[in-house]
Amino acid sequence: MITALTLAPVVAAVLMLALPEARARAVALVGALVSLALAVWMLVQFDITAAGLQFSEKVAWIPALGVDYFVGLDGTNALVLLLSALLAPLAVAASWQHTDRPRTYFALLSLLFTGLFGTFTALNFFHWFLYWELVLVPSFFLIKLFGKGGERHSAALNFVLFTVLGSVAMLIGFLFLHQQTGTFDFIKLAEKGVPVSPLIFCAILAGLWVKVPLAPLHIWQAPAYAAAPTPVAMLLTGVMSKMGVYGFLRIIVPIFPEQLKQHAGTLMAFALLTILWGAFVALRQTDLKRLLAFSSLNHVAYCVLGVGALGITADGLKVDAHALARQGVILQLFAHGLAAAGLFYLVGLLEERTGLRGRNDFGGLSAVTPRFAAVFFILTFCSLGLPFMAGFAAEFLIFSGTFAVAPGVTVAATLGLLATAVFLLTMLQRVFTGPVNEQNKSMPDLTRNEILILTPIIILVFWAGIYPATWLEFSQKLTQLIP
Amino acid sequence: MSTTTLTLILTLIPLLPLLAATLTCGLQNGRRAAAVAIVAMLGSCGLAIAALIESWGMSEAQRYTNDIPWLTVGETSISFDFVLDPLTGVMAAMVTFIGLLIFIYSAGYMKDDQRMARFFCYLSLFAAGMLGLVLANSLLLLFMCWEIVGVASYLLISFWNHKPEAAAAGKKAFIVTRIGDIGFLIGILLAFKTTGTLTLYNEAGSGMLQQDLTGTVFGISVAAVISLLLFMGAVGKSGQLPLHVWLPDAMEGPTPVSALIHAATMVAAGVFLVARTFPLFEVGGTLPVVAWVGAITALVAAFIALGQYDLKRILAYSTVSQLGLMMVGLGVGGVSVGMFHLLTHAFFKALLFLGAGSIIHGCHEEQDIRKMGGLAKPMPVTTIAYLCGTLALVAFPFTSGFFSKDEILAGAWATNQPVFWIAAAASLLTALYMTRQCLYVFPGVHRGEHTPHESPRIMTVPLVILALFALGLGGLAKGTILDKLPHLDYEHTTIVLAVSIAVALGGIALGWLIYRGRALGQAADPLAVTPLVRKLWFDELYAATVGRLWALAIVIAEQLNELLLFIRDLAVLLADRIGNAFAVGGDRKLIDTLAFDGMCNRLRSAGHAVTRPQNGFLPGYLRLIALGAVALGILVFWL
Repeated sequence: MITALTLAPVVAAVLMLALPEARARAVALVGALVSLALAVWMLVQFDITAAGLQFSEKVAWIPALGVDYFVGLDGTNALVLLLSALLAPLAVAASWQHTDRPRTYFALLSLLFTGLFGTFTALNFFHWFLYWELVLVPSFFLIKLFGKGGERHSAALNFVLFTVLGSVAMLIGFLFLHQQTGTFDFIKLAEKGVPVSPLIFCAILAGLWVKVPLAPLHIWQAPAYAAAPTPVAMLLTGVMSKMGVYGFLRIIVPIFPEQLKQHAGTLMAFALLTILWGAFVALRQTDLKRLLAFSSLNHVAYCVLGVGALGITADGLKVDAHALARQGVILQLFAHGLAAAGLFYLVGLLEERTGLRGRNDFGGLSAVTPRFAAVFFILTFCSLGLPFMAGFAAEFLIFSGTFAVAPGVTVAATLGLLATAVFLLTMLQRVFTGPVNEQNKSMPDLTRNEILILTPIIILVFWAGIYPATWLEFSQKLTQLIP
Repeated sequence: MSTTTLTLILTLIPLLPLLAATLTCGLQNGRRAAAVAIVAMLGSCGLAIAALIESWGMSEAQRYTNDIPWLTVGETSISFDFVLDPLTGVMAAMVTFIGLLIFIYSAGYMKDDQRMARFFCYLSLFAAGMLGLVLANSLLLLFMCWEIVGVASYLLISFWNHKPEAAAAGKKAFIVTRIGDIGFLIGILLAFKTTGTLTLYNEAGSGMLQQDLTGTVFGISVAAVISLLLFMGAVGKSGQLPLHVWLPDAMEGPTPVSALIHAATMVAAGVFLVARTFPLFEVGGTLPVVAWVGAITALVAAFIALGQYDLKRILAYSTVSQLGLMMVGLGVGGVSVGMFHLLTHAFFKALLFLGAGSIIHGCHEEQDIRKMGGLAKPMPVTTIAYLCGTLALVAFPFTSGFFSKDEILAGAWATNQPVFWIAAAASLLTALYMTRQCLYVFPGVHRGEHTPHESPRIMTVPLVILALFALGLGGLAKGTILDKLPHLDYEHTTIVLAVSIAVALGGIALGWLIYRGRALGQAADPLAVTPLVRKLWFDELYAATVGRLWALAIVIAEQLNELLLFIRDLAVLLADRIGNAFAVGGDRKLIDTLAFDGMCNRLRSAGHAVTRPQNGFLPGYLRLIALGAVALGILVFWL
């Protein structure tokens, strides 16, 4: 099941090479939709009362090394898999008008989907790492070949070099771990609870640190997001930025609980730094895509704050702090993925229509394009943490979890909420209010297809905010499992 | 009433406007949207009055709660509940009733606006949020609705957002109130951590407000800390010092919005929050803080109101000042005193704002009182209604404002005398600035360019209804409200009554003396001195302090980012150098030149040396053969 879901886009990519160029986009869409259908089907079938892995497949691969092909679904990856399976067809649909070398473009995009699905479902380091790296290759070419602006070459290079350096560290870490334990299996590693040297922990942490990213290793992020073609940027911010946090939940928390306990304070301090850093640098950005990139930096760092709280135990608490933080992190992955991908898409539409994407290039657009403005406002307010939308529910859960164990850091992090409000509202003010800019007076409003792409995002943003229980029940059992 | 009916009623009160908001967001036709919104509000109002009647029959400790599970996380559950007690009942009835009148008024006021449908959508969204806030039995639900009214307020202030000032004012309102909201949020987190629940009251008696709070934070009792943090939220929302700066700017919104949101209901939400969580303030001993903040706000805002020329801004500062008095009421007299003034104020201030809207409408969108005057004749209904509101505001004897303000002053006299004198001074100034305003607007000749006209009936009828309430409500409601809501004990003295009447009449007389016979609008105004006109430089002060710090933080963050980029470039450069060193020194010089090329060269030259004789020159070969034969011969024969 999971294998089929993961491989569907690759099959599509191979088919594309055989079919005429003009068919490429349709094939890519079908591939992505098959994956989505499978993901939805699995989540519908998902037994929320069971605690362990579901839909798991395990085949011995290289017995000498203890490597199995091992995939499965549990509370940690259920929601994030759904998110990526949902954004995949949306990204294809968002590239519907793409005409430049469509076969290459859609094949790369499909390859990227497979990498993402594989990363979120693999449970053995061996092929998990293959997928983890596989993601890089298509995104590098997509940014370099199809990106915008002269910066795209250096942005793509930066992006790959930073992540590869982190990955190399992680690979070395895992090789040492394998030497000590004889297994690459995430589940077995978690059960064994072997004492490992801090160096191994740091090496693995470094790989995730770059991927999240956390300050100060985030500088590849903004240029890459800004240079990438819009659909790729949607995936970068919507799904790829979740890989790092997912790695924390899948690897750091279960396999290194002792180390996490020791270093939770440091981790939270860096998460706080990233939260404030992202928010304050975003205040200064005038390029809308870079602004959203720093906003993304800020929002994903709340997840790491929550992960840090999982490493702190306190006695006599009246609230279940760990469960709150963990559920908050999982929901935040989902919430931010939706809102950020939607916002990148909208900014991409602005750029497509006018060739501009500066914060100060527009004005009065709410009068010119009311529907566009309405959707933009909704997603911005979700980002800003408005109640009854996904972002608030997630951030409240994270905060209530972290506050119970680390009140000081949490209070400092709320300053980020204020800064977020300032830069997001300034963006709305500059782009949508005031007198109408002459050159944008005839900008067309959202078309039916564009509304179709945005509708699922809007529905889920409200659904996850008004009744998050639907989405959190997948990981409800999980929270009670881990110490 | 059965519990199911009651649950249904409580749920429908906020849901009806929400439904209206959903329905109207897609409508283009403004009249139809107005009809939908008004019908929903009417339904809500009927249900709220039914709930009020039900709640009035409850004994003091009794309250009805219902429980809607929202989310279970691990061992912790969070539920969204509604509560019905007299506090909720009276607030919900007031909000829906005034809301209904303002909705009707707006149908007239906004009838020429292109985006009238959108206006009613936002207005309904606001009403839903406000009613959710009032009915909430969960601190989290209350906060969530609190934010919804905040965003509705943002959208409505910047409704005419083609004007840059309106857009800026909306943003300012949202951000300044969010500063308070962050305190509120931290307060919720602390309360959640301390009590393990977000529900205020439940039947088991383990709600947040029913528990005994023990423990300290930094040596201060936890109840005090929570109450002060919640009060931060109240300060932001209710425009108390030092976060009052957004409220006067919010007057950029359409006037019905100012009446509903920035006078009668939303800004009173802060006062309501303190009333709702009053047990925390009592246990924490933080009521004096509430009273002092309120008193200082009341006085400062009343001073600033003296120097303003914009009709709506005068009323805005008046609202800030009156909200301060409500806080004083809560601080010195308990829930009932603060809430009583909240109710009377809601009616007379909504009346004044709607009256102001009618005046502005009649004067062709003119808001400067210097360009008004002589409106009494062309606008008789508006004038009389406005004067009724003014009398209630200045607490003229036996109007509603008189009764509620008298309670505040009596409470202050009994518990906190300095606050009493500050509140009395604020009341004197209130009478003074209202007299000034009325003298500018109504008597004399008209100084504007257009001929003023009376507003249509759809706008004046709500004015008349509100005017009746502004005059009569106080006497009628005084006894029951004070009985039903929690109340601190204090005695009424004649001194208080005398001071109360003296400041009201004295202020009016003073205003009359100063402005009688003056050439208003042309000559300088003796009270509009620079500090007051410039609003005591609060905005400038904040720009110079907080604004600078903020900018500094941004610059630091940006420079740190630049520093990182520099470090990256440095690392790249270093890697480049090292690579170069290897490439040039190791690769080219050592391996290529010395090892590989060198070896090859030597091999080649050796080969060269060896191959030189083999040049295909026959005599050479023969010569060598002969030489070899001789050498061989010598070897054989001699050795």
